[in-house]
Amino acid sequence: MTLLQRIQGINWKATFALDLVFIVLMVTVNGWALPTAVVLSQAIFWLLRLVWISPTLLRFILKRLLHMIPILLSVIAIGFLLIQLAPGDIFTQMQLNPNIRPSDIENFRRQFGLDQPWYVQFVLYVVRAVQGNFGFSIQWRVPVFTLVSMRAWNTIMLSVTALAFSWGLSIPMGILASTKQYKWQDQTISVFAFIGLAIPNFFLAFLLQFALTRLAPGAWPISGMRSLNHENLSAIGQFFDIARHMVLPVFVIGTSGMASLTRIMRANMLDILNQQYIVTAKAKGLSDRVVIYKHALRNAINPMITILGFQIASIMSGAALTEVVLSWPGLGSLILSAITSQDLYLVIGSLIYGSILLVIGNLIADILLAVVDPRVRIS
Amino acid sequence: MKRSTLSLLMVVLTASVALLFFGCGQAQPTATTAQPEEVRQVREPVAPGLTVVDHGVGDWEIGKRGGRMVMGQLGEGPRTFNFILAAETSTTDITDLLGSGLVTRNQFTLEYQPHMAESYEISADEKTITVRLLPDLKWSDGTAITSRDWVDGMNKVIFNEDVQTNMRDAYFIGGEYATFTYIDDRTFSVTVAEVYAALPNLLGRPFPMHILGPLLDSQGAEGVNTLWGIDTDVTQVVSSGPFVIASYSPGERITLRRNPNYFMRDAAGTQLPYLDELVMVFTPDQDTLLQNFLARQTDMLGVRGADYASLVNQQEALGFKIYEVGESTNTNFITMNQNPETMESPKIDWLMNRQFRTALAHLIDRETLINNLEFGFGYPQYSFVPRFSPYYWEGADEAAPKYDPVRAAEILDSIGFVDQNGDGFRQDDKGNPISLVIETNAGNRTREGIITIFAQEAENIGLRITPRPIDFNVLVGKLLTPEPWDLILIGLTGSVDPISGANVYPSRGNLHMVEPRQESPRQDWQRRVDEAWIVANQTTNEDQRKRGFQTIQEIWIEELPWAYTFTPLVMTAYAERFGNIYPQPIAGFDWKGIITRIYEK
Repeated sequence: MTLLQRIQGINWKATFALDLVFIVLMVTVNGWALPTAVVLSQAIFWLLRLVWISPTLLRFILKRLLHMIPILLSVIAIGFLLIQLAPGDIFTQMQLNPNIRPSDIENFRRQFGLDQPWYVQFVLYVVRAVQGNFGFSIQWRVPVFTLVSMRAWNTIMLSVTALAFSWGLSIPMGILASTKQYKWQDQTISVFAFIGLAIPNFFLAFLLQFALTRLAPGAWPISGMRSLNHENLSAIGQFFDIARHMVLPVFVIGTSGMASLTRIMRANMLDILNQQYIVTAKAKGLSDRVVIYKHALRNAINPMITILGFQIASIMSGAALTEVVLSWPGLGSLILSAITSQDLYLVIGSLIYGSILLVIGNLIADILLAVVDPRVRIS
Repeated sequence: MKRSTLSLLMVVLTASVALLFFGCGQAQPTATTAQPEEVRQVREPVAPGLTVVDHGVGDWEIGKRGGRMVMGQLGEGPRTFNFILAAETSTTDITDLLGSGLVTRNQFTLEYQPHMAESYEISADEKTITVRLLPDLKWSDGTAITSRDWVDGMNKVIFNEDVQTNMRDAYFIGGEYATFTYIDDRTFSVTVAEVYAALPNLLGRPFPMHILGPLLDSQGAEGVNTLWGIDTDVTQVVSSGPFVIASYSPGERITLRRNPNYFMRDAAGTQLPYLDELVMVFTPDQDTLLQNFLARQTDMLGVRGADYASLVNQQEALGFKIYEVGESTNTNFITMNQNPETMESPKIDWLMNRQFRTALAHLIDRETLINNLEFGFGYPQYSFVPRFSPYYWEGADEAAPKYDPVRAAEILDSIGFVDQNGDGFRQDDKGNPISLVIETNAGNRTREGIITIFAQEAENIGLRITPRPIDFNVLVGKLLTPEPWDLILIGLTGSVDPISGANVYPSRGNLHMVEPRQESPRQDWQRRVDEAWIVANQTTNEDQRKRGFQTIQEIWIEELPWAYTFTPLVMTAYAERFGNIYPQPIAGFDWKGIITRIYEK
């Protein structure tokens, strides 16, 4: 049986029902908090499902997660080393302020451990990180985890929507361009793909802001995530308020990815469409629709899934510049300012988040690939 | 479906590109813009369409309560709500509104006046200042404000070296901390070790000891260091200032609401501030600030010279006014290293030569710098004291070396620094080719521009000076530790009272950049500056202070340890519907100084 057949073999309704019963029991009988019960039940049930689908797959996932440990350690070490190599530290700027005592600045360095050599800082950091303490941001004076969680949701919301937007448009556009190769549809799509590739994200954001302020000042939000009266809106109103603010950034981020995705999809499709089995399928008298969607697309999509893996990794950071220009309260501007001001622990913290996402993104892509393509074996 | 989406995309893209070009053409200013009529003009604005802030009116308009003002704030917002820990302006912009001082400067005259104090009195020996508080002062949570909030705040919090604050230095006078003594709940005194000119500066804001006291007892300094972080419940943050925090959303905005217990009232007896709400929208990008203002999403904008053209013709259509506030306190100056530890021969001989330094000062083409870098909106600067300060020496403009490349060449000729081998560049009197490097922090476009233009001027008269932008932290390292450098362009922020430069101008200061931290002055002019510094600052007699600062300015302009370039003009745009717009170009007296009095007309 292929993975896909095994996944289809699960009685999803039944397992979700069981899942729900478990949650209800835990909350009512054991008196657990709802989020705890949900997380725990999801962990248990997905583990069970994975064991059913394929113990090999489970082993594969666990192995990948174990691989993450040396990756994270080296990322942290390189982070500390690089920041140490950069001249000065977060307090250097203060030294030019005539109203701050040099002895106070030395005190700050000592209190935040910046007076130690980088390898000592590294070891101390790892020891604390293992205990679940990812350090304090020096600038913000709150734990890095708290700081990142306050903003992460906004970035994820934006990136996932933009991802859906660009994939939802570029896959059909790539297919259209390949089936109408060298016709006007293909030419138009190509022209726009190249324009999209040529205009940097942040510049497109400026252009759109500029156009909107000139055409209709105040009619459409050009920055931020919520309007000032957001708190006074109904739940539906709040949803549409955020949606309105999201149009501009989603368009900017989405279109930039679309250009290359469309071109890659088109090239993949063209490769497949020239294969002999497609010619055979057409000769058998199958409709264009069946040939394209059932035979060509299934094979052309494989390389796209690998790309998807990388895109998941960039969910947290890929939109940074657009976020800055459009004042989206996400992680992008936070991390940029952390890097420019050398806020050590915040930089390291964001490196860790980025690396975890990269590993998980690739993991998801590998699994998807195995699900979609029966020739790919996980070992 | 696909096609229509595509064509929509096409239309939007084409439209936006077209607008870029169309819009640029439209934004050019015309010389014939109408002058604003209704405001009493004290003098002509520097450019058409600007409104000069009229400090001559001398008093506030009576406003009315209500309304909301929205401001864009550059950056990521406050790092903490705890004013003790505040370390940069995005934070102090907020925390300054959550506290009031005992004494403040008058917004119109910039002279000291009691604020939360009913009165204050300086003792005969000029070392003690005794303050009496206004009656019935209250924190925003209703607790009474007493003199304990200053005395214990200083002794237990600020003078506790484990607390991560940079407020401490201001109270370290004559080698020890000022002594704060409790007299009764409404009276306390501050004593310093030596006569100190800026005694009223020591009368700052109160510390909420009803919160800090128990916290110190249970958790010590660490409790203060983690108090009121941005993950805190904002309603817990108490305020002695005009506003309290109503809500905060990270990276997005903060909403401030009127403090119901604020002590100030206007002349008609209305409790201040007038505004119901003040919203600050965090905007990481400077150009987005401008676009938000043009889209009428914000009511106030700090205007750069570069923005003038795109704003000036929109004033009527969008209902705002651009105010010409005055000269900025920002400075940019070229410092010339005279430290034998960080300079080798023969460079040290050139820079120790006052004639050579004067020749370099003659090469600063301030007019070109202002026109090229600030779009014409700036003033030449010659002294470390800002022109609006009472301690500014009126003769500074006259005495300072102006742009005069011919004179510079003559001076160099006269000291024997001429081109002896015909390679187009000068050698010194011993035949060493003259070659210097001028450095500044990379990424600061104004400063990079200044050193490039300066180096070009030097080359024109045969001086080889290489401009080199370097990383900011490397630059700071060079200034503060013994590392070699020749010329550095850097800036410090000035203030009304130059006493804040105690670490800069006297030769013992760690920011006396030409040769920092000297145990005793090595050069004669440095000795004279040190003496005049004592004359100016170890007294409360204003005439003596002015004399002292005049001496220092005279020496500075003659000896040129560093030569000033220019200072930008501060311009601020406010939506027309607001009244009481009397900002000053100094931190604390800019929008912050007027925020309690701004009202919606």
